[in-house]
Amino acid sequence: MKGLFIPKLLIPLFLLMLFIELSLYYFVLGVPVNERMNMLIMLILLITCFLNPVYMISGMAHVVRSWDMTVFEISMFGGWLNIAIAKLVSIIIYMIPYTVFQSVIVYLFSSTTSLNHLIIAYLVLSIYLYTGLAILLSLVKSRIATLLTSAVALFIAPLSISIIISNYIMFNTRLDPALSAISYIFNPMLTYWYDIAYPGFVQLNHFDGILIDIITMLCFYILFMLLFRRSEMKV
Amino acid sequence: MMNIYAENLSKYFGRVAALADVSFNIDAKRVVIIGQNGSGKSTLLSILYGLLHPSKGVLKINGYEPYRMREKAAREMTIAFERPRFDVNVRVRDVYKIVRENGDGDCIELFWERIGVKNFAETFLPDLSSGQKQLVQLMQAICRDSRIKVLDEPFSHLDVKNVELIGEYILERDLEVVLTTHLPEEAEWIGDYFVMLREGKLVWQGRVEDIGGEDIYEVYLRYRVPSSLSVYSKLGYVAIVRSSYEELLELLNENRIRGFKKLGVRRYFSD
Repeated sequence: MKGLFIPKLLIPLFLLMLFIELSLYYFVLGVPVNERMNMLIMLILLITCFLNPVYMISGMAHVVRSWDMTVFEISMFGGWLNIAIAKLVSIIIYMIPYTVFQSVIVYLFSSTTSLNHLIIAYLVLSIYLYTGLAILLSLVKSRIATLLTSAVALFIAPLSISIIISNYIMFNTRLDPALSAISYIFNPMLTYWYDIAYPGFVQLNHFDGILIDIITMLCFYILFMLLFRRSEMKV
Repeated sequence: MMNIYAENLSKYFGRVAALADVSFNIDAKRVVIIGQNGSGKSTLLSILYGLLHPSKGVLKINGYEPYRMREKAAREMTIAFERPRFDVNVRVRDVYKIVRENGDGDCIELFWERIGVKNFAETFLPDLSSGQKQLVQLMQAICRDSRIKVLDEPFSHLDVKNVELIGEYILERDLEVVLTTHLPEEAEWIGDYFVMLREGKLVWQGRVEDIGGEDIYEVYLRYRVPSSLSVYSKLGYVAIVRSSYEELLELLNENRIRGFKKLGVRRYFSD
């Protein structure tokens, strides 16, 4: 597993994130307190629509492999379930440093506003929920197709939610429960922010949002294990 | 002794039949599936190991369908396949450590020390040569504790010395193996039961002893076929001929042929 944590890739990636996010943080500190809440949305969009997808795609090597490699692993470890679990654990571990890093950043930002630190829970959920989606997409049989569909899903889905919500706000319409649930699934942090900034706009309590996210995340993980054990491979 | 049972086994990829209505019932220790390139050998092995479901028909190994009981199949069998594409940076030493934990010590010693896998212990799998990849795969498939070894073209890319060491180990330990090859001599050396495929269809099954053909020999050629011989077919540097032992011995002494042997599974390679 050591070979999958590539310092040449990860160190510049973390330094770049640190530079961008700290610049934004010191910029926010210069803004009047009552306007900081609006600045926080910039950070949320940066994380959910750009940084999360970039980091997740860099971690796809943990789960996207040639069939030959997967069959070799199955034969060596003597089981399908072992390998499915190993892939899951491997990508979950890969996401931990990133999750800790972003949690610290979001904590710093949220401390400057009246926003509850519950947003860190939404950050963690958004990372691991999309991780679940990414590993599901890893079952697409072509490696290139996997990377393309993952890139599209990981970038486009959270961005789409932000566009939909902006339009609803513009037309002064509330998000109905179904759309609120979808919104909590595909961009948990942003939906939570709107729930706090515009009370009553999201018609689902943010604790329900957490529950929906946890259930969806578990569904993704379980579905991955079931589908992996049924997938066909020709060597 | 393992039992492999297939009934009307078919596998289609799109409209192409990789296997078409193959049926057999085998009780043997070392089963060799032979056939030319594209004959369906690897597809049959993939179904046997549980990687593919058949499009039609059934295949059972020791009474169960491996593609329906994949966990059991993966526990009881190990597989090595031809020309693997490794794309994860794992070192050979890591594979060795894993296999050593659940493997046969003598077997691991054979691969690590005598064959010399330790010489490229620090190399990542994707950086290995084709022969080195084959050795690492065989170390995993043969040495990990498993009842049946499924080996797809195990000796391709290996030098003759390593072929000798590995083949002898399989025979000495009386391992249960299912292997594929397109080399008749390799098949006859290792196998005690043969399944011959051509274009996805079963052409012949049986033992070498079942192959009839009095006075029919395989002759290893030196340049051209001697004109005195009556040729049934010619496959590369080997001709299948009707002749007598004495006549062939004379041709051998005159250095007009390189050798000869009784007709074997090669007869099923020709139309």
